[in-house]
Amino acid sequence: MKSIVIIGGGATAVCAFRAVTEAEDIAAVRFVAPGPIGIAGAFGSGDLRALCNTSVDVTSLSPDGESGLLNYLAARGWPVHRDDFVPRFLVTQYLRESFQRLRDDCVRRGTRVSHVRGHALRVTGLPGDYRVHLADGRVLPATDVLVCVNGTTTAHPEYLVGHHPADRLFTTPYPLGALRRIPAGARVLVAGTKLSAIDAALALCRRGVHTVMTSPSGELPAVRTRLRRHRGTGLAAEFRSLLAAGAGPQELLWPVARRIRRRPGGDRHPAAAVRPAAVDAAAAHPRLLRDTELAEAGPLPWQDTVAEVIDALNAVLSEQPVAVRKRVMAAHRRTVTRFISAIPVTNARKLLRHLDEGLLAVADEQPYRAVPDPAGDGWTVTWPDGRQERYDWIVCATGFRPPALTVGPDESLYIGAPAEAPGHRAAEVGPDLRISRGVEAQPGTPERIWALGATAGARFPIVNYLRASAQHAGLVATALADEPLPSGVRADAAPTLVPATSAARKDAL
Amino acid sequence: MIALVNPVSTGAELAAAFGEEGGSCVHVYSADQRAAHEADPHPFRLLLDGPAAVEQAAEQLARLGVDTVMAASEYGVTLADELAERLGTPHHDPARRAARRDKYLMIQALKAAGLPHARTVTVTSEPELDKILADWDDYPLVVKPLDSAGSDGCTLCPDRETARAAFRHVTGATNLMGSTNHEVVVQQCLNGVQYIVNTVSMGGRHLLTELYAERIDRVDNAPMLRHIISRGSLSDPERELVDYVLGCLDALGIREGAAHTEVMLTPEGPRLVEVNSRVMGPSLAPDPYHAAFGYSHQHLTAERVLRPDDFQRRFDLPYAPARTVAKVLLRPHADGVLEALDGLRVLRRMPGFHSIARLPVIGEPVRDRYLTTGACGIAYLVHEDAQLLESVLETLHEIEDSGDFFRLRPAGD
Repeated sequence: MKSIVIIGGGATAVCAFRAVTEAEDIAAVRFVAPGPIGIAGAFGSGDLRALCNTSVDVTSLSPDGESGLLNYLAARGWPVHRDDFVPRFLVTQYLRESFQRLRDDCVRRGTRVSHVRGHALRVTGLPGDYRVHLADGRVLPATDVLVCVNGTTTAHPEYLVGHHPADRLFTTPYPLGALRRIPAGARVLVAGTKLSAIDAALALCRRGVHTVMTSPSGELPAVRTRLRRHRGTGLAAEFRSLLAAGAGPQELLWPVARRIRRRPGGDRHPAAAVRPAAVDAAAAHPRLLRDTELAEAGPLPWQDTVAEVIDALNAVLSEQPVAVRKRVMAAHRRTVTRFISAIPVTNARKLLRHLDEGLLAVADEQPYRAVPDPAGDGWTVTWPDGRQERYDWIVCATGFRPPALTVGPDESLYIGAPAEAPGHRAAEVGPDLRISRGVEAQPGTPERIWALGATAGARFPIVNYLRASAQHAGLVATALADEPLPSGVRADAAPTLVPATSAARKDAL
Repeated sequence: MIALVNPVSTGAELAAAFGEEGGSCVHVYSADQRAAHEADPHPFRLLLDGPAAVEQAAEQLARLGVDTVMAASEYGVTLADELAERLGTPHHDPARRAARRDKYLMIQALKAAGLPHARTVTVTSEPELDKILADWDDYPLVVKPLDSAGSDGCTLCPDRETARAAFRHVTGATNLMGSTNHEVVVQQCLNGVQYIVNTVSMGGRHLLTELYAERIDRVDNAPMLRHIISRGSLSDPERELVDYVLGCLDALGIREGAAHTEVMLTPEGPRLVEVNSRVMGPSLAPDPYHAAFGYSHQHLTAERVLRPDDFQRRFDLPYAPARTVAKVLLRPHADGVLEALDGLRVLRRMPGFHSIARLPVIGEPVRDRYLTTGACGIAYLVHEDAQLLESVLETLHEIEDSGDFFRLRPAGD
């Protein structure tokens, strides 16, 4: 019987829970997370206008079959369609209620489920006989460990490094309700022009806050009316063939462009070009207007290829050597960011309105310096051309980084230790999501520690997407079901908290 | 026979609970509640009037065989005490009667009992206020009427000028209880999480019936109650808080019936906000409470009187409600005339949604945006999962604050 520790409590952790509890030989599942399971994280609370950027169709704990979210919402009377971009709080409610239902099912089957509130720092031990060490010194035994940690560290732009914490600086735009502290009429610089920056800008502008979004490119995402799962058209196989034949990164666009051209209106659509016009040099405002009008005019031929492109990139690039992964992603980063992380047309219209009103501006450069006022009531921002501007607040919305996975000198797997910690080296995430510490204590016995969702970002190119987490969970569950515990391992069917030794406490600190 | 004194506000729910339980009641009204008396369809009613009204009422109640007198609202607290004392029925300590209504004397009673309390003084004039403020270095402070309810006139003052302005605003105004504010309380501002501790007492022994945490926002220097959410099990600090409240009830001489106490859990420990010797307000729709606890505050109060043996057993039972209940005081984002309640269809699909009471009328101006009167609607949610309910409440408030719950048009349009 296996006893599993899931590190993390967000959407990926719930996906993992759903998948592993389908197995029959699970004695216990223990979550390690500081907050409640299934609540907060990527979706959190929020009002009716904080929409998901992906459709209901791809928002499901299960990668296959009908959307779990669709069925959940239908059962509660929501007149929902699979293409809808629903308020995020509904996903939180879906995750939490699903977690509770799955937990109850487990308990009925005799599987113990518990939640240890805390932070996991490292994993020691051997396959099938691990110890998960918590920041407070507690130690949990586990036969298998699933690391499902969301991005928590904000990726600050250089001009903000060293300034946080600071008065009048939001290091993250979430929860969006916190931005209500900023009064109408204030001037705010939002660092970033992608999804979280757009969330911030929409929340600020609608309350009459003057907002400038800034990033080196000043590019806004494309605009879509839906993100649907696809019927497989063999894109992954074509990517594999091309890479095997030594094709360059640009050639991977060919099969995508062919698929776009085959869709209604696709032969005339700019995205069907091998170099999509979407990465042209047009300014943010006219480009957003054009994208929005295209979306409103009818079916967007490119948008129904996106789900398959994500799946194919994740499936194929995860098999490739790191150099190939980096080369391909570097070549397509702007296109991928723009189309895969496109925004709902409703939000695009709101952005356009704010741009038209003069309440919102998008800068295609970023400040080289930002200095807080001595009195703490604002910032002076200096742009590369020497212009100085004053802002009342700065909101950092440049995304999150998942915690680093490193192997320490003691061969422990560290979660979130500083990458530059002495003697640490990066842990490897394999294409099967297994985390390798680079040591093989028992020849032929693979590790039973897995990275899922954002934690697997070093191997899988597109992970900030519930469907990717659900796919990861399915892969791991299959491995768990197929692989018996190593011989000689007598998994504790009833994992108990191991009291922290003084050494463990010292390590934890 | 039970005399319910001034069964208005949630007292009507208390009266209904007694009615359901087969209690034989007479509804007693003071002269200032004449309109409620006239509107009350109850067959046994008594309106006090004239200079010897209390004495005459006591005689009448004695003739009716009244053996229990209960305050059925804040308006009935003092009169119920007086009548019970005259009738010789079980009653609170008469020596502390004034302290059960007067917020300053309440704190003095705690002081006399050696219980921790907030620094509190009363003033009746601006020079007196200035004298107090000259030595006051703990800002913000709270200015509020000595005798009111529902957050009425309560102002959080970050400095002396705001305190003076609040004093001028409150003094001489008619308060929510219908009386004129002559005396004003100046109190240390307590920081922390505010709780509600509901109790029912029997013979001086107090039973914890419900414990709630409150979310109180500060809007325009005034406290705004957003919701209360019940606590399913008590943490160590909450256990200490409940023990402290029971001590406060003793200090105030409370011996019988319902009490509704507000208390702040500060970093220094619990500090009393106020004790109300009556059932909780402003709405006590019984069903959501039964769904969570298996009883309501008013039904336990009725049980204490009608089935004291059943009630007695509860002292040996743990406090462990099966579900969590939340009561939300819905808040419009602005003033105006109500055109629609768009948020209702969202709220009604939320996990744990139970019911809504007192919805405001479409076409009428919204009122009491800041007060704890429930005039803009009260929503109830019940769920086994307290954390999910917390998340739902957070979302609901975001929808209210973003202006998507109440559709309003400016008054006069």
